[in-house]
Amino acid sequence: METVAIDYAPRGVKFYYIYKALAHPESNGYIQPFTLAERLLHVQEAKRTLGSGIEWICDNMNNELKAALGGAPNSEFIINPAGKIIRARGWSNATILRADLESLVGKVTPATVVADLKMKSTAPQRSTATGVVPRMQISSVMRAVQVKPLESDEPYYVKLRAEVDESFMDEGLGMAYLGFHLDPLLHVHWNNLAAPIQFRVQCPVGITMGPSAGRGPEIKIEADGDPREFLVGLEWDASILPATRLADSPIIIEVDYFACHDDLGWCKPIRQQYEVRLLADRNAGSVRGRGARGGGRRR
Amino acid sequence: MVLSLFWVLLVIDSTPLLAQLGGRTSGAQFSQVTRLLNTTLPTVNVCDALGKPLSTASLRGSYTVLVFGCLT
Repeated sequence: METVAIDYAPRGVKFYYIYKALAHPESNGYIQPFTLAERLLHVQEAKRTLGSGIEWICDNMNNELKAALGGAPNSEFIINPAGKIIRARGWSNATILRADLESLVGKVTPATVVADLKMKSTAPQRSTATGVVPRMQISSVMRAVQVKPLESDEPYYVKLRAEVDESFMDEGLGMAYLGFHLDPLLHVHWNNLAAPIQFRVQCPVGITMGPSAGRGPEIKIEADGDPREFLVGLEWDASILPATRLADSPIIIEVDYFACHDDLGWCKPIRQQYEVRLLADRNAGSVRGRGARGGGRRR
Repeated sequence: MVLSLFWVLLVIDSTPLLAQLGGRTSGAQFSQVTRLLNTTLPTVNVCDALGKPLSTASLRGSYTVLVFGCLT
């Protein structure tokens, strides 16, 4: 799209990327933000890593713009001056976009080509060791469920991703994945000289998670940035907790961990809580190649 | 009975996720996008890259190209 923007911005066409929830969390270590401020950090990171000159619009944390425009991860639209959507594609295509603009605004010759661009894209920065703690291998199809952070004075340096397996979805009895992932954009690492992360689970009546507490592994090196992952049993008794009450009956997961900032040098204990609802999260994205080098679920 | 209700609830809510698990945009999602053709751009309150509030209604007045994307 960069080449098209270079040619058509001078003709009065406006170009925007719309930043939305991650399509594939864990790719390059990035994980879903919890707050708008964190999503804006993602936008800055996208600008930095892509080196694009196109402006970004950031969707709100209810993902309303994504929902209003069809929910596809890389869709493309042309809006006419009256505000009507005159082109709508499920997947962005620069060649077709250029042809569209040629018909609407006129042909630009010579057209800018990718080789003309001098985009300074840069790789994601990591200052903490990774690949230290083996990633969890999961063979079952998993689906992300809703996770909400409870109020805290501290940012959520560690973000929980919760998923349930097919067996649970089919029968109400199966396994849940609890992944505690450090947010790389908050520049914090695990302090392995202190106690490992610990979590405790508090379930509503009708839901059982076992074990209801866990402790991360002891790691031999001082610091790392790998996720701490757990598989726990999960059972739901619909005769006690009707499906209609699942939204109002969160599981509370409390964590304790010791975090250190990569650059500022502080280290401190953190206690935070997440609410987990056993409802599918349509904005959680899908993890690719977890367990493979670089993160993500192996398929 | 209640269990099947849960299943229905979960499946209805997670249909797009099933598609995402395959790593591709589903036909359903494409259809949701193309269905918007010739409709007015919905008015949604979002923000610019610096966090300044912005309404999509402000995008009128010229030809505008919008492309969804993210870091991953």
